[in-house]
Amino acid sequence: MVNNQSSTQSNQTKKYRIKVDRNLCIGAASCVALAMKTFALDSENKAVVLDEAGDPPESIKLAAESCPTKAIILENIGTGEQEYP
Amino acid sequence: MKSVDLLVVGGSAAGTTAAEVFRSLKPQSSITIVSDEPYEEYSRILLSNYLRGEIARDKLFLKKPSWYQEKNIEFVKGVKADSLESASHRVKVSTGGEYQYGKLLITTGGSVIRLPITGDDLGNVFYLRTLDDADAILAQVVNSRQAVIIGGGFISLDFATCFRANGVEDVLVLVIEDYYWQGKLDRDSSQVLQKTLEKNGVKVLTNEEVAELRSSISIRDRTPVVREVVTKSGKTFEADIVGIGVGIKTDLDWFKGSGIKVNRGIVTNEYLETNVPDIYAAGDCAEFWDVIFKRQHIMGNWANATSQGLAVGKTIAGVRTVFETASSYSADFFDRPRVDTSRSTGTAKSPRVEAGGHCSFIGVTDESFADEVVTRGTVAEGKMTRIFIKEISGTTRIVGATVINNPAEVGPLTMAVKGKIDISVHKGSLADANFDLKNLVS
Repeated sequence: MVNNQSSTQSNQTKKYRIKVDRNLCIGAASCVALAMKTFALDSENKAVVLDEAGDPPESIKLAAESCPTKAIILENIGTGEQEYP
Repeated sequence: MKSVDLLVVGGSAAGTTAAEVFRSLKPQSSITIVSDEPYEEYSRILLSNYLRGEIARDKLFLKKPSWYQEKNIEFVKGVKADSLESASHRVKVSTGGEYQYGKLLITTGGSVIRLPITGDDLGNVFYLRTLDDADAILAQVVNSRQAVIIGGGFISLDFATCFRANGVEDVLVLVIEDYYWQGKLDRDSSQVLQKTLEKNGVKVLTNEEVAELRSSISIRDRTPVVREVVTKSGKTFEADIVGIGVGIKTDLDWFKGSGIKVNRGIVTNEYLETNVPDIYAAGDCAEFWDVIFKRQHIMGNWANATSQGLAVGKTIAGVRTVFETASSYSADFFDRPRVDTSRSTGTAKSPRVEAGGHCSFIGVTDESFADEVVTRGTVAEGKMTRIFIKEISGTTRIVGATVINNPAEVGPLTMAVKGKIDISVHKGSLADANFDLKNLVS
């Protein structure tokens, strides 16, 4: 696996199309804690996607699963299907 | 006796996350989670929304039974850990069974502190921590007209919002302190919160300690139910529903004699390892060495529990990982945006009700820990942010903040805390409400 340290380019394989439901997001920030190159909180304290391949796919999945309001929706780019929730 | 590689006691955010991370690193190991709750992992955060009738009960669940099967994690629900023998690596549980563990992770969270008064066990008197508590409250609240809430804090706000949302006409909060949420907030921030409560039809009385809850016999099922709340000052308030929220505590008794060092919680280092080999703690019950603030710290919130679960799961699997996160906890009350169960993913913002409120706690909000506290906003504006500043290792840092009715400030403040950013050049501007806090982190 190539472990490119470049900050301008994602160094992970992109597996998911990620959506955050702003109506559900409460800014609990567990996604940011688990995948901090993928998620951040914006000025309204809601999660936004920085980079859909910022972290390894398994970290992104874990981040989505940890969301206490299930506000993160993962669509598998390969299959086109919603993988979570 | 059953033998497992990893035994997790506690099945919420920290324990479940840790088990999942451990599984990903150790595909062949055996894992058992023992939970005293009778449900798969659910979102304690969403209990607030559930209590307001905003979401259906089935939306609370974060894990289905099939998830545990897929991950090959044995999930034992409705069972408590009773005792621990650390020398022989054994845990006895409430069903009489016994586990021999390789590694033990304690993620038992907290349980409510009960008020030591007569009548706290009457019908229609509620504490709030679990889904069972929420179910019981919802079953009763629709028949209630007069509520008394004892205590000021997050749970008190949840009770107040739930009672009003479910049509309870009279809602009164009694706090023992000089003002609402004293101990966590300053007087002005408290005033801002209290005004929000009052706008929503909730009265607050301070310096009132409850002496007793008196009962009458329910007409419906002939059981004793609460009728009035009597305070030590001699006042009496009628109530047909009472909510008590005076804090949570960690159960440290079941592992007495095991040698695990405890203080207010289970004492761990920055790896979430206890002083006893092969025993770890994470989540609300852990009093961990916080490398960001360089002190022992208990942080009771979801993001903290989840990220501690991640770190400790790796450590237990042999990838020793320092836990380092500055978490925040936020709550909306009265104005929570409607949760759209159709899951449309548009970016439209929900309309906010003018009278709603929001509060957040970030990092360490302890005046005795900080060198200085800067205040932004005024009671008249209905917004108040307090920023806790401390010099650590030669850097002037924001170590924490309380943010009332000003959610836009939570993001930049959290980033400043987490990034250990030197804010000395901005320190003089922080009190100016026109100074955009985003400048701290840009």
